Amino acid sequence: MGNEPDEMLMLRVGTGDHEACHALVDRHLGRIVAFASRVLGDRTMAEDVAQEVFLRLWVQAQRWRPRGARLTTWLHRIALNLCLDWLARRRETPLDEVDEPADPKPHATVLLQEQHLSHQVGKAVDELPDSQRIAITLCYYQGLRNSEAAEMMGISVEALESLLARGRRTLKSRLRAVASDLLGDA
Amino acid sequence: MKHSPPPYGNNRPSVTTLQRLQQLLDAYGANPERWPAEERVAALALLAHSTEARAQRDEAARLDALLDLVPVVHPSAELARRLLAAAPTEKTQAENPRNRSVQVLYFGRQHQPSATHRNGTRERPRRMRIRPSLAVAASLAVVLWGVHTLLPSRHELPPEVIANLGVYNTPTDVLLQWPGVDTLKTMPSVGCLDSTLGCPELKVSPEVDSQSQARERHYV
Repeated sequence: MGNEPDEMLMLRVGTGDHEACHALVDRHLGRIVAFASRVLGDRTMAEDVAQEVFLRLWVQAQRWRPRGARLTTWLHRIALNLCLDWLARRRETPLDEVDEPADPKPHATVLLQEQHLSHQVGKAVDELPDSQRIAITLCYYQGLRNSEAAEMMGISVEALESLLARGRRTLKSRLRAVASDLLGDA
Repeated sequence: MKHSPPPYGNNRPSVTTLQRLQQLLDAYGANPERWPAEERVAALALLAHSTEARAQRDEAARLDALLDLVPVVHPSAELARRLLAAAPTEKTQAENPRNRSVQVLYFGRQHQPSATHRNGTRERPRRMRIRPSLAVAASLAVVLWGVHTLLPSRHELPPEVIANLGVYNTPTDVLLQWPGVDTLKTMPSVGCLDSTLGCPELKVSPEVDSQSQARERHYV
C-alpha cells in the first residue's frame, strides 16, 4: 500500500476501507500540519486546520474525482483557505503588541548554536509578509509545482516567482546578521 | 521509437542564459527538483558547462541550508487517532443515499467545499442556514410516524370479522319511518318484581306489541 497512488486510495476510502484511510493519514497529515504551521506560526491552530482538512476529505471521499488535480494539491488548497481565514480573523482582532518573552536562560550554554539558528530562521520566515511566506511554504517547503501554487494563490506564475524571489531576498537580508558565515557574504 | 511533442509546444522556455538561471535560483533555490520541469534540463546543462552558473547555484544553496533549519512540526498522535476514529467505514459508506442527503443538507452543495481556488471572496459552507430545515423535517417525520402508528386504520379488521358483525334484516327505509324502539321490551326492569315481598305484579298482555315488531315480522 506504500506505493499505491493517492487516487486509488481515495477510491478505497470511498468504500470505507480503513487501511486506505490510515495510509492517507500517514502520507499526508504530517505535510498538512507542517504547511499550516509554517503559514500560521502556531502548532495548535495548524492541527485544527489539518483536522478540518481531513474531515472534509472523509465526507467528500465517495464523490471525490481527480479532475486533473492531484490529491495533495486539493489538500493544500483547502488548508490554505482555512489558514487564510485564520489569518484574516487574527488581523480583525489584533492582539496588543507583546514583547517577546525574555529567554529564561539567555546565557545558558546548553543552547546549541544550531537550535538558536533554527529558531532565528523560523522567526524570520514567520515575519515575512503573508503572501511571500505562503509562496515559499508552498513551493520550497511543500514542494508543489509552481503552476499549482500560483493557481492556488490566484496569481500568475510570474507573480509567484516574484513573490518567491522577494521572500528569499528578505530572508537572506535578515539572516545575514545571525549567519553571515553560513551565507558566505559577510 | 516515436518522440512525443514537448508539453510546452513551441513556446519552449529558454534557460540558456545566466540571467534566467539566476531568476530560477532566486525564486526556487538550488535544488533542481524545485525548478519548473520544462526548464530543468536546460538549466542543468548550463550548470554543467558554466563555472559562473555553478557559483550562482552555490550561493543559493547556502540560503537553502539555512531555510532547511526551520523546525518541522509533526502532528500529534492524538490528532491522527481522532481522524481515524472519524474516518468512513464500510457501514457508513453502505448507507450511501442517506449519507449523501445528509451531506447535501449539511454542506449545502455536492462539490468539494472550499476546495476551489481562492479569488478574493469564497463561498462558505451553509451549515447554519440548512440545519433548522433538517430539524423541522425530522420533527415532521416523527409526527407522521406517530399518527400512522397510534391511530387505528380503517382497514385493520380482517374480512371474516367484518362478515360476522351481523346481518341487517330490517330495510333501512322502515327504520327511518318509525322510531324502531319497542318501549315495552326495551324498558329496563327497575324496582321489585317479587310478589311475595309485596311488590306489584307486572302483567304484559300478549296482544300488546309494538308496531315496529309487526312490520319487522312482515319483512323478515
